[in-house]
Amino acid sequence: MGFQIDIQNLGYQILKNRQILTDLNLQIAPGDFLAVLGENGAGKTTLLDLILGFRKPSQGTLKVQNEKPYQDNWKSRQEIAYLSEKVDIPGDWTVDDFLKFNEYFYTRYSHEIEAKYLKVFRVNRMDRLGNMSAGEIRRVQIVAALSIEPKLIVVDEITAVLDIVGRRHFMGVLRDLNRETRCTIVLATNILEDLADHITHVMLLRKGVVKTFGPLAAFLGGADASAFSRTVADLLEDGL
Amino acid sequence: MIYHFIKRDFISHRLPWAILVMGTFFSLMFFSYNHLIYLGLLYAYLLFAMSPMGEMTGAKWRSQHVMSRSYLLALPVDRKALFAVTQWRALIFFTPLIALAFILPTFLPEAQRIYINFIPKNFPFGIYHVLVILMVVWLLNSMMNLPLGFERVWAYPTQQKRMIAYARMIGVFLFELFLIILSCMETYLYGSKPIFPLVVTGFVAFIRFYLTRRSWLTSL
Repeated sequence: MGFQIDIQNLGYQILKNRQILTDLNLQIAPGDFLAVLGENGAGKTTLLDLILGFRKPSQGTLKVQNEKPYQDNWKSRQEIAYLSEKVDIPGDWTVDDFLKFNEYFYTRYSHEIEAKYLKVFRVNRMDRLGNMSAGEIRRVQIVAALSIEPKLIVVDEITAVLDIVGRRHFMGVLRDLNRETRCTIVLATNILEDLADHITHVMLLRKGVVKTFGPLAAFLGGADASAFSRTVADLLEDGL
Repeated sequence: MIYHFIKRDFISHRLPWAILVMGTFFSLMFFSYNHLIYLGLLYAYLLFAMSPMGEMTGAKWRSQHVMSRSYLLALPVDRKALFAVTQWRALIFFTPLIALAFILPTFLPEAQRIYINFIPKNFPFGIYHVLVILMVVWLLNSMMNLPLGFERVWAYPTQQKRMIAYARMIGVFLFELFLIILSCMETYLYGSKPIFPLVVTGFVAFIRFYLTRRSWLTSL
């Protein structure tokens, strides 16, 4: 079963006067697959950083499995997979170097799962990261992150650099993991294509304020999943 | 865990290490009669120690040259312990510099003229060595702190604020350096006890270590 995330009156500001997130109140239940959507600068990455404990909330509380992430409850990160465009690995490493380096930190690391995903994402262990494209490096990170058998997967906009096939595989793998292991997934993205086929919940952020949060079915309001992209775009364009 | 990181660092930097060893060997073999070669070696070791500091600190943004701090801080490792590991990793690259600074005054008294002329002659044996270590700790943390500071300043909204922040950062660095040198010179010129520069350098190094750690842990 996945992790639960409780957010109450959460606010975050930088440089004393720039408010990034304002008064967020929501609960992400175990097994939810949440898509965090919003314009550039809406606060998606900041929210994910707060979930990972990279930042300390300015107001309110954020708890992951009843623990405040910024207090560095590092043992719980054994079961948290983090995939971000900000994550990078030195180019002189091979895929094998990185996987072995990463594996060291995780007690539940599965070589069986690693082998499975290396095949799914067509990653060659001996390739040098410096010679790979941004999308190929993301595939390597996906393999490493999912091999820890996570209970919470936090994904910060990495699908944009994946090619069509890579993205389809990635979203399919996330959906299967969510359905089979009931792990919780929080995915910040700007790519809406096929998203409604995979997620269970939606959050729309606008200028740091939650405008919509809830199950996908309620969001669609009886409309077909194919209407998802249009609905989101309309809501964002109309200023909600 | 520290071995895991250091092993990886050594694999990534085996070529610079090999060049350093060969350079030292040939320098001593052919030019050991010239005192200036030791000064050259000191600078070479200093540059060698500084070169991987960016890697140790990790980058905030995407870079294929160094590991990102997002990755490091997301690992299931106590973040304060991770910072300590980072310090040890960086210190490994300072070992040639520390070793040379340790032995130089012993077999080459002229060393005090060429690179440590502010340290008094007959400086007590143990205190000099601790002082070298403290200076390295201060320098190491200053070199980690500067890029962290620059990352923070880049987010400032106006150029004026950025310029003031840059000037302040560099000013603080120079002030700390001034304090350390002054404490040593004071001992030299006015004959206060050798423990004095040790206390001053230790204090400056500790403050710099503490501020760098706080900055490293909270700068994403």
